[in-house]
Amino acid sequence: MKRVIAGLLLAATTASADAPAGAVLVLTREPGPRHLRMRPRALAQASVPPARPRPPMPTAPTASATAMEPIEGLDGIRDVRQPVSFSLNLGYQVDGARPSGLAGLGAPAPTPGRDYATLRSYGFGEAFLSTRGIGLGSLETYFAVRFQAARKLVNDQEPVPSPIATWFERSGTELRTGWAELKDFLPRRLGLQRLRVRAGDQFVYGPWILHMDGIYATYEGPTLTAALYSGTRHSDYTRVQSAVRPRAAGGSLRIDLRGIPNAVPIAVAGEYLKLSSSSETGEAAVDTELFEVDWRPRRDIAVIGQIRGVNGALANQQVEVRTRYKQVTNFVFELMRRFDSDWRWDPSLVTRPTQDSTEARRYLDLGPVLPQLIASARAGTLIRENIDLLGRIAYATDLANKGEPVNTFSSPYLELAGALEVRLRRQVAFGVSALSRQTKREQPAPDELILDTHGPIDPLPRDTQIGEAGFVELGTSLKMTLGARRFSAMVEVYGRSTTYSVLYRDPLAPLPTTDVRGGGRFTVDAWVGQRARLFASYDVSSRLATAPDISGYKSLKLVVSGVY
Amino acid sequence: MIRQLWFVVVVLVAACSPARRSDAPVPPVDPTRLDHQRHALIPCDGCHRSSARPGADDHRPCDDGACHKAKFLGPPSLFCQVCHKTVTTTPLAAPLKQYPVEDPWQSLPPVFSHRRHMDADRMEKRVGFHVSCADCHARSDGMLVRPDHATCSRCHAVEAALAKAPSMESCAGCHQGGARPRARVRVIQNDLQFHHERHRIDRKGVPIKCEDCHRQSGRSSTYADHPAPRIESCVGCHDDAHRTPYPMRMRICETCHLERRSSLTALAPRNHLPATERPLDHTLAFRRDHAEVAARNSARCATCHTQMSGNPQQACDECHQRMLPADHRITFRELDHGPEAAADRTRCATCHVVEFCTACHAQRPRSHGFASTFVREHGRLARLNVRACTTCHLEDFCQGCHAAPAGRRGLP
Repeated sequence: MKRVIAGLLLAATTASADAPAGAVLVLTREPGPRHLRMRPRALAQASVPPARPRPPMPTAPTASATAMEPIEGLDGIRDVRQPVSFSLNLGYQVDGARPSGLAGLGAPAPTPGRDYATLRSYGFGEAFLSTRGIGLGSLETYFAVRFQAARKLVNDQEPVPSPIATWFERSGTELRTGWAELKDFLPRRLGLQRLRVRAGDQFVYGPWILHMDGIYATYEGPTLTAALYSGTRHSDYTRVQSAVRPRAAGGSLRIDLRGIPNAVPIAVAGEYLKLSSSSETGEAAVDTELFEVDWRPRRDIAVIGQIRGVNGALANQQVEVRTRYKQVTNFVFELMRRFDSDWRWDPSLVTRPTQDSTEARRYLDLGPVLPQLIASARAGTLIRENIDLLGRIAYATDLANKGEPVNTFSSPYLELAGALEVRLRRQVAFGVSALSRQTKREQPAPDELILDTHGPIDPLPRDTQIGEAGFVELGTSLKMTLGARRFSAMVEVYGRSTTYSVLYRDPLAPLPTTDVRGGGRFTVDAWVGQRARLFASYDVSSRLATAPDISGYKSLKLVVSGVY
Repeated sequence: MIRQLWFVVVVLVAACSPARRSDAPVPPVDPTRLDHQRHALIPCDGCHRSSARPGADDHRPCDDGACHKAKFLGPPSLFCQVCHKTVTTTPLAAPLKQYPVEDPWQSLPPVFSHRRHMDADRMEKRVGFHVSCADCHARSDGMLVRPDHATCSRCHAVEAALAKAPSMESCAGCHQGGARPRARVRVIQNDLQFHHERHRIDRKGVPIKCEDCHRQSGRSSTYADHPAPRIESCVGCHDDAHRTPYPMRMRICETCHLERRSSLTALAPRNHLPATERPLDHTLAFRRDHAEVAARNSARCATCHTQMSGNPQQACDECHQRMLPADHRITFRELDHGPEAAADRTRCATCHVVEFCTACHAQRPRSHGFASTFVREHGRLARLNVRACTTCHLEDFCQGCHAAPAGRRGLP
């Protein structure tokens, strides 16, 4: 018993030795954050009502091929990712050329209504419709229709020339584009969701902007982009498609290493396009190959090189260097070298027109494709965010062998151009522009000029001598805008002086060698709410030295647009 | 062709070479700047014993015997200028430098991720609560300030015992070694004035959220990618009559600028204008070189330009059906397009296929009048510019008559 009591005393003694002299029940430090407004987990996970889908935030404004800078505040103007987008334009245009009472250079004073129509009017319209996910979640469609109603210009059942040349002479409707596209419809495994298949009337951007009726399949990955397409070529502005149309087929492959971290900033692309022969135009089949290297060593520098071959022969080389300083100062340098194997115009026009009077291109001879080198540079900047400057210089030279005469179809020229726009007030801007191109041609000596004898048929000058010697164009404009999609108006006045090569001499009635003309344009663009737009433009020219029989050209265009 | 391909291969090889990377610049040697690396053997709290400047307690602990006692007993030297601007003994004057220092270099720079701290779900999972902007930036008097160590201590103090958060005792948890240029971008500078307390609510009393201006803050992982608010975020409110009273509108320069600029600079720059104005990059140069941008992100164009439905593959055609180049005036159709096509036909072929040309060229021009008279009278027109004739008429067509023997008068 004594041992038990002794044990208890020992334990009590030990406990009292560990206890502090006076018990302190106040915390000496804060238990955790005092000012933190803690939020319970339930509140943090509370379901948020689904917000109204916001329009996509537009990404970067890039003035060149360089990186993007975010631009804020543009949301809310228009959402182009709605399931249905629709727009309709209806327009009416009147072109006119009043007689001046004077004789023309090539004809006596014309009689209006008999020799030509002083007025031509036509109505036109366009409708655009695109859908996303209607009917099928992966289905996207797009349709663009153009229609016009033109009055035939006839006099006693005989067609008379229109006041201004244009192809608006036929009425009808044309489906410019209409396709359906399926994407993201395959399993995501192996990246198949990136496959996109489109069928219908569409444009294909390859070595040439091909308009075709066919099928287009593409895989668009972050690094690899591949496409295959095939169809029949769609001829524009003809409205009546031939039953036998050239077939087009091609493909492209692009490897872009820029998306890979720590990879070299380069993209390599190859394109191929084959256009079959056309019995209608007489064109033979054409193969076009394009190889492109897009190298962007730095954020604001892009070097793009292209080589294009036609039917296996080297046809065209291009190098383009784009640089940007800050956001609004850009420099672009381009160098293009053409070879005589290049297209005459595009892959649908490679051969030269023949003497066949039924040939479609009889009245369009662009001359032979001659080796040519064109170098150009342009630079633009924005000073104090209100003074907009643009300058351009271009030089073209033919690559003819030494001693060969300069050909009129590839004459060397030097081009200088510049533009300046100053914002005077918040809504008003004033601009001036200048453009000059001086062409080097074989110029006959004064004693070699052809004597213009009235009556007899005079000889023709040599091909190498004919053409313009150069021109200078000056323009000025005044713009007023209350903001995009609100109201804007512009007045533009310009003048152009063209100097022609002097090839004839006529002591009795000297011919003018310079053609000075001017013109003006007035446009108004007004929005009624966010859906309707009214546009009007009035173009007018001064009297023309080449056409003294008329007092100039005039054109009025009215367009009403609706957007949904 | 083979030679060209070789050239391309060489360019490719050159392009694929590893890019040169320059090392971070070394801060300049400054004898009046404390070198943390030389003090690395001393624990941080050996010097930073409180939030006050080390040495504020009568030069303790810097003047300890094992440290710089000798220098404190000697005459004034550059050593004093680590903390003092100057030191003079007669009279005794030793004004202190600002603390912390605000020179262009930052030693032992801290790391901080707004993105991590603003991720509510992640914070909830790791520490059981989350924070908002005001938890760190609001002072007790309501002023918005940059947080200091005391603010961080609320959560990172040892007593808080947050298991997966760095402790305040571990300086290296935030302060990394070395030095770096101080990356601080300030919008409010020069003559600009701004008060956070005036931006709590708008004209109608609706609270203005922090992210309305600091849009990037919640996504920034480091100080380097934490940009200052953009002017465009100011424009959104200050050009909205529903949110800002007229005296505070964007067009009133004095709203933000203390000094009214004169002449041209009195005009608001484009980034001071609302989004309905033309974007800053829509310059004259952009008008010419917008193709790549439009192809890459046509949806952005479609935000304002109505001719585009937002289909990237249709962007060019749909817009350019109506939007013509500036030089396509009324005389361009009849007279000016010829020299342009002759100078650079590839520019024309960008938009126009050959059928477009032949559609007009197949028509008889108005200048030709009646055939019977034009055959006789076309000479004056042709002599002005024979080149225009040859666009449609081949050489043989003219030579049918003009090759006739000289002296022959007229045509049959």
